[in-house]
Amino acid sequence: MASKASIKILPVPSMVKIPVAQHIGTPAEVVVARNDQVKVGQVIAKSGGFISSNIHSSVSGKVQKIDKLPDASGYRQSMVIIEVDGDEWLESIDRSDTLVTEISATREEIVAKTLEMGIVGLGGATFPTHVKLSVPKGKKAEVLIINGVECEPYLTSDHRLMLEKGEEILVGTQILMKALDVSKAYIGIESNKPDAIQHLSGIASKYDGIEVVPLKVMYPQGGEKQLIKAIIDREVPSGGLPIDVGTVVHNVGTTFAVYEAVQNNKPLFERVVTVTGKDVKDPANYMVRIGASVTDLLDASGGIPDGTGKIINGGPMMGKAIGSTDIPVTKGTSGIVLIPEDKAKRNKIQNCIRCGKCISVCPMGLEPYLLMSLSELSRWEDVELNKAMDCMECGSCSFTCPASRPLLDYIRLGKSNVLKIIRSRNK
Amino acid sequence: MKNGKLRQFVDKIKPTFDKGGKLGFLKSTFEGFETFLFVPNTVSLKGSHIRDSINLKRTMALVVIALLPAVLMGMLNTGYQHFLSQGQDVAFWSGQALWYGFIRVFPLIVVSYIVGLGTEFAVAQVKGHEINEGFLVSGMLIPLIVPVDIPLWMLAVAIVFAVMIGKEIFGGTGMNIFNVALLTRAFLFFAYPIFMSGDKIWIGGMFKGENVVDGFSGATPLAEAAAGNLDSLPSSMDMFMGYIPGSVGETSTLAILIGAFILIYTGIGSWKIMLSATVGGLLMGLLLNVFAVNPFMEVPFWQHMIMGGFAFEVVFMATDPVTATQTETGKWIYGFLIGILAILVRVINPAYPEGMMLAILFMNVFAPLIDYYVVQANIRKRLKRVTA
Repeated sequence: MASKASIKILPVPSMVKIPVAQHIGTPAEVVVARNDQVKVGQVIAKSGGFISSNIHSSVSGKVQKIDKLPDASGYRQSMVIIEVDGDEWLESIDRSDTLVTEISATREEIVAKTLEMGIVGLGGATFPTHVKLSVPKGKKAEVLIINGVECEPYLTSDHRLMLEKGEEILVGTQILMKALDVSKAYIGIESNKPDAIQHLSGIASKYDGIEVVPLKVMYPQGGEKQLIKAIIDREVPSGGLPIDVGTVVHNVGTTFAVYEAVQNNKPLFERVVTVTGKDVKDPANYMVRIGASVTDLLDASGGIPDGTGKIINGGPMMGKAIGSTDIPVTKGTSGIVLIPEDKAKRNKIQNCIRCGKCISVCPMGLEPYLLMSLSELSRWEDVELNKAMDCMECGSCSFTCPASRPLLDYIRLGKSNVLKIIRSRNK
Repeated sequence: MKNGKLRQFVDKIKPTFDKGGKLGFLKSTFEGFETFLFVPNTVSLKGSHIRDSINLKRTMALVVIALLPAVLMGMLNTGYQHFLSQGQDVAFWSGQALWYGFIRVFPLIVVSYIVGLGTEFAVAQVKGHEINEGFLVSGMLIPLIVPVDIPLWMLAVAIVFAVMIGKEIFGGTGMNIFNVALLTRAFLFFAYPIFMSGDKIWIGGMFKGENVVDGFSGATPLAEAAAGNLDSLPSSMDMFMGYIPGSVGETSTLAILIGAFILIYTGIGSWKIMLSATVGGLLMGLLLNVFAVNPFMEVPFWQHMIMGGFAFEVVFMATDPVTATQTETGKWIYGFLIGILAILVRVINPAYPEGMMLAILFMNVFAPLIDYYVVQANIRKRLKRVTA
C-alpha cells in the first residue's frame, strides 16, 4: 500500500515526548533537568544496566518537564518533554550524505558504539543491539542473518529502506560481521519484493561473504526462528536463542541504524514508520523523530479517515490498538495501521469445529486449539507441558480460525500463568 | 448500510427478548437471527486485528456448493433409473429424468432441513444456548445417502434422533462425536432395515412395485458383486459417471471428484484424509485380490473406488472436521484406517455389502485417541530438542 512512494521526512514537530523505556530491559536513567537546553543527538537518559540502552534527544530545544504520561500501552511512564526550538545538531554527528565504506572501528569499538548511540532492534522487539553483539562465553557466532522480511503484512518501512539505503545496509552488514567475527552473512528478503532483491543483490556482489536469499512469501517468515530455519535450515531449540545454533539475526532497519551510528556517529533518534490503512488518504513511510506524536504522523497522511474503527500501533497481526493518538513514536514503532470500522469488530465466538487449521498454520508446530481449551479450563501445568512458552504470538491461529475463536488471547492468558508458575518454582 | 431501517427495527424489538422481557423465553432464537443479519460490534484490542475472510458460515456454504454436482447427477440418475425400471426409454441427460429426480429428491431435502434446523432451534431454545449453523451441511448430506423411496416420517424421526442424541447432548456444533449424517443413516439402517436394504430400495417407485418391467433387478453394483455376479457388473465407465442404481449422491464418482476438487482448492476438506483413505482402500483391495477366495474378493481393487459410497463418504464424511482427527499426522492415520476398514467390512462382512458407514463411525470414536497420541509424541519430540 505504501511501498511505491519513497520515504518522506516528517517535519520536526513543535514538541516531543521521549519515553525513557523504549527497549526491552531496564529503563534508562534521566540525566537532564527541567529548563536544560538540549541539542539533537544529545543523551538525555543513560543506560540503566547491561540490558538497557541510551536515549537521545531527537530535537533541539528546552526540556519543559519530566513527567509520567501514557504511552502506547495506555500505562503511564516517564517521558522527557522537550519544547522544540530550531534544529541544532551535535557537531560530532556527520550529516553529509557520502557513503563511508571503510570500517575503521575495532570489534570492541563497534559494540561500544551501538550502546552509546542507543541502537536497539527496530523490527519491533527493541532488544538492545550491543547485547546481541556480545556473544556469551562458550558460544560462537558462525552466521549473521539480516532480516529483510517485513515482519508483518501492510508494513513497508523495511522494503523502502532496502531500496533507498541499500549501500548503507550492506556496509552496516559488514560492520555487524566484523563485530561478531563471522565471515558469512545472508540477507533474507521475501520474493514479493523483487525490486529489493535485485537492488541488494547487485550491491552485495561488491562485498565478500554477503548473499541475498529470496524467501517464500508467508507470515510469519520474519520471525527469527522461522528465518533461521528457512535460510540455513537450523532449528533453534525450544526455549533457546538463535546463538545456540550459531546465528545472530538483525533487522535491516537496525543494520541501517548501526551504519549511521558507527560511520556517522549518529545516535538513534529517528526511524522509518509506515502509516497505512484501507481508507488512509496518503499512505506512506515517514522518517520520524522519536517522540513525535502519532497525531503528527496521521495529520501528515491526510488525517484520520471517516469510519475508522481502531488505530493500531505496530502491524495488523501483532500490534496493539491504541486509545489515543496523543502518544509518542518510539524506537519500537514500526507502523501505524488504521482499520475501518467494519473490520474492527470482533466476530462472535463459535464452537470449535476441530478443523485443525490452527495447527496447520502454527509456525512453531504447536496445537493452538489445545492450548486454548487448556487455558479455558485453567489447566496451567498442561499448558506448560504443551509448550505454550514456545508461542511467539504471531496471531496466525486467530487469523485463520473459521469459528472466530480468540485462540491467541487465551494462549497469552495461559502463558502469563505459566510464567507465574515458572517464577514461583525458581524461588 | 449503517444504521439502516432493519438495524433500527432490530434494536427496537431487542428489549422484548431480553431476560424479563415479554418474549424473553425466545432469546436464543432472536439472537440467532440477529447474528445472521449483523456482525456483532465489540472491538478487539489486541492482535490479530485482521482475519481470514473464511468463517463457519462460508465454510459450510462452500461444502454445500461442493455437493451440488453430486445433487444434480443424483437427480438425473434417479429419473434415469426410474424410467429404466419401467422399460421407458428416457435419456440420462434429459429434462424428464431431471424433473422426476427433482420431485423425488427435493422433498427429502426440504424435510431434512426443516426437521434438522427445527430440532436445533428447539434445543438451543430450551438450553438457552446460541444457535449454530452446524446443520447446513448435514442437512444436505442426509438426503444424498438414503434411498430415494424412504418414507419422509422415517427420515424425520432419524434426523431428530441424530441431532438430539448424536449432537446436541454433547454440546452442539463442534462437540459431536459421530458424523450426524452417518448417524441418521445408521439409525434408519438398524430401525427400519426393510426400507434400507435389498435390491429394490434404490430406485424410485420400485419398492412399491409400480409397473416394473420383468427381469429388472435394480441391484447395485456392490450387491451384484457380493452375490458373486461379477459378469453382470456395469462397465467401469458407467460406474464412474454414475449411471448405476444407488443412493442419490453416491453414484457419480465424477460429480464427487468435482466436489473434492472444490473442497481441496478452498482448503476446507483435508486432502490428507482423502488421499490416505484412498490409499488405504486400494491396499486393502489389493490384499483381498491376493487371497481371492470368493468372487467379491476378485473385484479389481481399483473398482472399489467407484462402487458404493466409498468416494462420496471419503470426500464428504471422512473429512468432516468435527469428527475427524485434528492433528496433521493424525489425519494421515485416520484416513488410512478408514480406507482399510471400509473395504474390509465391505467384502468380508456377510450381512450387507457396504462398509463405509461403519468404518467412518468406528473411526470417529478413535479420532480423539489418535490425536492424543500425536500430541503426546509431539511433546516428547520437543522435550528431546530441549535436552539435545
